[in-house]
Amino acid sequence: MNADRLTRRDALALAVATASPLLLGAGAASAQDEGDAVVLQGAIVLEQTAVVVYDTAVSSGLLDREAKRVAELFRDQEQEHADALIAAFERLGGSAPKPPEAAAIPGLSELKSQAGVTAYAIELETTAVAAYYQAHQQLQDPELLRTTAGIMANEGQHLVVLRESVGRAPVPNAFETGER
Amino acid sequence: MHSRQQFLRGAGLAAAGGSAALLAACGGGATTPASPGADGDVAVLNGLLDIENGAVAAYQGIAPLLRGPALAAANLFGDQEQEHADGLAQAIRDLGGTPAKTKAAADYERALGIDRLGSRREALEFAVELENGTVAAYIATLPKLQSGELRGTAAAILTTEAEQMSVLLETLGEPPVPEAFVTGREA
Repeated sequence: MNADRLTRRDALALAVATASPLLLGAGAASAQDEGDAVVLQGAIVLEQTAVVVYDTAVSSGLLDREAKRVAELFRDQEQEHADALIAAFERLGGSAPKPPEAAAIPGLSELKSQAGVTAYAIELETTAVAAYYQAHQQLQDPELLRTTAGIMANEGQHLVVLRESVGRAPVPNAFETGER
Repeated sequence: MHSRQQFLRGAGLAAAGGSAALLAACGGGATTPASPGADGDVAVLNGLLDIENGAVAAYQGIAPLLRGPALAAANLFGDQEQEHADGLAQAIRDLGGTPAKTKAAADYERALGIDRLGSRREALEFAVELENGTVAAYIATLPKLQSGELRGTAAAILTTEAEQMSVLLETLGEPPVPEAFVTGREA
């Protein structure tokens, strides 16, 4: 189980890290903008991945009515995150990466139960929180920082609902860094 | 109340996890040299410290109005706010600054209007507003921090505040994740 989790986490991190070269246009601006764009691109891939994961969960037939409703809500919110980040990325001269195919997301096709989907979603959200924790240390633009802070907080709220659904403590950490 | 304060003080001393996180975030212990942006960061952190100290007092203040799971949540959240306050105070010292003095709990309770709360529902609604105000403060001030590590830590704290808000909303029977972007609201 632990090995599975690590593998999946590493795979997600890898997917973000290798998300293709920076897709900035020729008119790319300052080094600060370029640094922010690199972080943004990784965050966009993560959000696009989350949309596909929740969308796959919604249509999987594995979820009961309430879990499906939650997955739909979270999918839509991840899409809102992706849209906002893509808009910011495009303002920096970037071209949005293509969303991943479900088949390319490690472990997603192996899910066979609601419990498995929930565990996967917890792993995904924890990875997202960890990524945003790092992102806040690197991003420079104040407006972007406010946006990503609002997103990271929302991912934490997703974790509350997911943890509660499997009987786990909803707020186990005073400092939610995405560490396990 | 007195014993609760003593408990929280003890918990604060024992809150090595939170303090350690911020210590690490500052790049070392008390020997870390002050960076050019340290003065500004100290001012920002002291503002947040005052908010966290107020939150500790607030959760203490509403506890008598709560029972069962809501009381357990308030106690946990109060302890977590204390961890935040301890961590922020340590970070301020690491930057060569002096943490703002903690006011008396009664002063915070009066300033926050806790003495006017009369029911479980009012207490929980107040706590939601408290968390909204805290999140808004962190989002407004986080970009002003010069230290990237401290920005990360501030983001980790505000995410916990948002999580606490979700639990409080659920306890009130409201949707726990109402918005894709948690921006908080100024009190």
